[in-house]
Amino acid sequence: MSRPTTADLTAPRSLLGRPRRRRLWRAIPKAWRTPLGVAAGLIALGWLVIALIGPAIVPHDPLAQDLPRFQAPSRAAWLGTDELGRDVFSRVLAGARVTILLSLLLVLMSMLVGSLLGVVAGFFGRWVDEVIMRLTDLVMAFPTVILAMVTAAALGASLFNAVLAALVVSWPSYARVVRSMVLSLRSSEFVASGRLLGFSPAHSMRVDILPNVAGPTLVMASLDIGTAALLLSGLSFLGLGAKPPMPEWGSMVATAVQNFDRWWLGLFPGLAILTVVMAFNFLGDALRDHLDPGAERA
Amino acid sequence: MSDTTPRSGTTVRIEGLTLDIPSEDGVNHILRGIDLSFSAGEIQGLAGESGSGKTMTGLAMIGLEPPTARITGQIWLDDVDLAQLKGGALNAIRGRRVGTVFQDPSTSLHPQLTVGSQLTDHVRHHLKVSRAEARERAVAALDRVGVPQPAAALTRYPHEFSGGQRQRVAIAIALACAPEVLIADEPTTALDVTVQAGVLRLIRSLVDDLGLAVLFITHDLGVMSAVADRVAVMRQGQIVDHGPRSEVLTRPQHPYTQALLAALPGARGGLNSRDDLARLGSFSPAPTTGGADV
Amino acid sequence: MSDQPLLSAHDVVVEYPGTPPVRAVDGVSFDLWPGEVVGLVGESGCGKSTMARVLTGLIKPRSGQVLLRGRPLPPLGLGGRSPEWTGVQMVFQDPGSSLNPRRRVGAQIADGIATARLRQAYQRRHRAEAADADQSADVQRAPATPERWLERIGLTARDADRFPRHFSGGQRQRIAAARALAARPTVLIADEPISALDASTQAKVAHLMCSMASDLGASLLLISHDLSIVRLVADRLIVMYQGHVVERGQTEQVWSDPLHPYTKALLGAIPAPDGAGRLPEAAGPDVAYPLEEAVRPD
Repeated sequence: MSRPTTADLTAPRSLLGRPRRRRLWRAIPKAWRTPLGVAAGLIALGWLVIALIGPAIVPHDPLAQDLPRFQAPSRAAWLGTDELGRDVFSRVLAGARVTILLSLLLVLMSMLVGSLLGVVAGFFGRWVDEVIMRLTDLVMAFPTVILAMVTAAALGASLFNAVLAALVVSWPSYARVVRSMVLSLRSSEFVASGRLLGFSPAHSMRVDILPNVAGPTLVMASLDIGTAALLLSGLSFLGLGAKPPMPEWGSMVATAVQNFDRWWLGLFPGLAILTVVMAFNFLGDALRDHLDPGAERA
Repeated sequence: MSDTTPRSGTTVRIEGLTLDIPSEDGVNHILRGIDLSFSAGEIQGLAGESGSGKTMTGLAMIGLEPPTARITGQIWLDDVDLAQLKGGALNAIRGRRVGTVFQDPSTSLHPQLTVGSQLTDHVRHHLKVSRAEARERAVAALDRVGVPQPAAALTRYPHEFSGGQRQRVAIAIALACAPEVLIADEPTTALDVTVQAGVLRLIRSLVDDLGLAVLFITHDLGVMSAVADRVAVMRQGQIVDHGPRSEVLTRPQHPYTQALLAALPGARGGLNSRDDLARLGSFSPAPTTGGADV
Repeated sequence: MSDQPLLSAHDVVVEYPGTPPVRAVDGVSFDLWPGEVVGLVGESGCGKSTMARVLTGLIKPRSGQVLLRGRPLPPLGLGGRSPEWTGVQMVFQDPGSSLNPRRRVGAQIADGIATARLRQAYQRRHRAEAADADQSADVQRAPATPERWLERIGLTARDADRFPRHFSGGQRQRIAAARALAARPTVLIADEPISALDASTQAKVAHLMCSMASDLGASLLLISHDLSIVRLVADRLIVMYQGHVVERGQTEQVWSDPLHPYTKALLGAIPAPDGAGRLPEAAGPDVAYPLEEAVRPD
């Protein structure tokens, strides 16, 4: 229908598209129009609200050990009680704050660290690029979870160290993607024409390159929230993150493993992890599909 | 040319073809009632600018329209309505009775298979012949399209050919099963003009020798003028001008065709000197809806 | 015309890395005189686009020189380009990437205007050569705001607030040309600026570029594979084939009486939309033409 040109293929098309503010504004309601998007959006929103106001709405103190131990779900304790007589429902709600807020923090930090290094590598090239990229290779050569475990273990088990360990394994993907975007943008025509107009490298970066990197990077980050939640609760599950008695889903599941016949101990925090990961993944997918100019009508 | 005795009497008749694509903001009417017929031994040109629907017309003929598209109307290949065919029945016709050549041979050929295996797979899929016979057909097809040393070419990969040779290979694949109809969608647009000339001559000779019925889709009225017997001009999903080549290109009836030709170098009444350029006038401020850009 | 060429290429050689290295341009020399429109024509792989990038300093030639008013043009490295050299501007091929998708077109044209001001200030400070200085008188003739520029190219002042995606390919190329010309270049190099556009728009855009360039006193090097349009606007033609200049001369001379066999083949292969049903002349497969320039006897 259109008259395609070979140049279409060389242009950084994936980076072109609508300005961010208006795009996000439109994107969110549109992404919600699919049933999956609506469900994922509501679940994610629900968990976010719980993460923010959780401690105010819990029926019991999540740390109080004043209920009978190992109670099956009942009217008194909706999701039962654990081995120390704590209310599982309250602990699941309280755990949302730890997992979700820390995942968001982790994603934000890896995006910032990774993008910064990616921009530096893509812009300066040569040995700077070489050093940073070999570093990403080094990290990516190890299985993510194992490297995170080793790092967390080396740093000492604490929630802060778990986030740090997760950061160590998750920045490289941002660095690589951002670097390649910077590289392709640097050779693109509007950047060249800006340079011919006398743009300094810093100006070119601020005006022409970064705004075009930001959108795709945010999408990537939104896709990453689910993974981050999984990684953090995984570390806690292994005892490398949250310390008792802090309510945290991963460590709650770990307790459940030792009490396998009390199904409610593992099921509910497990479901919490599952819904958070899936909701954020679907939301990220919907956002990506929508922001991907390839999916847009010409 | 068109009076050459056709090998068969194959006729393609497109009747009232419409194609709509539903979208968030309503329905896009891509084709709004196309009527077109052409038969063996003739090249039917389909011209138009980007967005006119000319490519979609070709794709609809072989069932390659987007999955969300809604089609009405008929596409008769003799007495078969291609618009009604689905799945296997469509596959049996596509590639067998209707061959296609697309714009860019570097993407329409599989980069990691030899030319020979692409040709013979295609032949064996449709014709159920022995490996040796398929190979013979492949060599003959390559020879027919003017690929030098056809037997040796079978073992080579698409990237080992120049752009023009690659497009010849793509034409050989389209022709290997001796189709009656060829849909050529901008087959020379990606080629250099000196290479284009050879491919145009090849297509013309194939029509004259084999009695193919060709739908030749192009935006380039110069190319159209060189090969087409009849020309249809599309705009916004409709055919606005239709007739024998010399009629449409020298005495266009529709104002749109007249305007198109007036903006082209080398056309009668087109741009043939510097003064003609001045006649074009300047761009007038127009609503920038991103549509027509004339 | 003055006695010194505005921009000249001396024996430029460009090689792209590979084994063996690919010699894209092999000893090309030509001059561009003030105020003239020169068509640089040839087919894919002839080195014309590489020459465009050499002439603007985007590529450093392996050997040879580019002189702007007799002074060697520095290649554009990591640093910014000094106002001294912003008199060379370029328009690129792909309407999809010739403008920054995330900036309003008004702001992008304003970049060009700012460049023109900076260079004027620079020239005043440095008592620039007379030839450049006398151009400052012309600045009054140039549109002074992005809005006036948009009107000059047939758009409206309101369009300044729009983003590139709101415009068709032809409109974007006009905006890109306005941006480059707003910098008040002495030389505008246009690399296939119209080849991605619909045929009916091509001549009009080419004509607009030429007339704007000549209004502003800029020389124009129009690079294209399409001789039929170039010959309508160019004063002189330079024909390139496989990295060499094979023929040059006044447009009418080359068009009506080509000397070099390649030029003849190129001209013979252009199909005219005259309805005559004439198949263009075809060379046999893989013909090689001589690389020596056919020199026109004076």
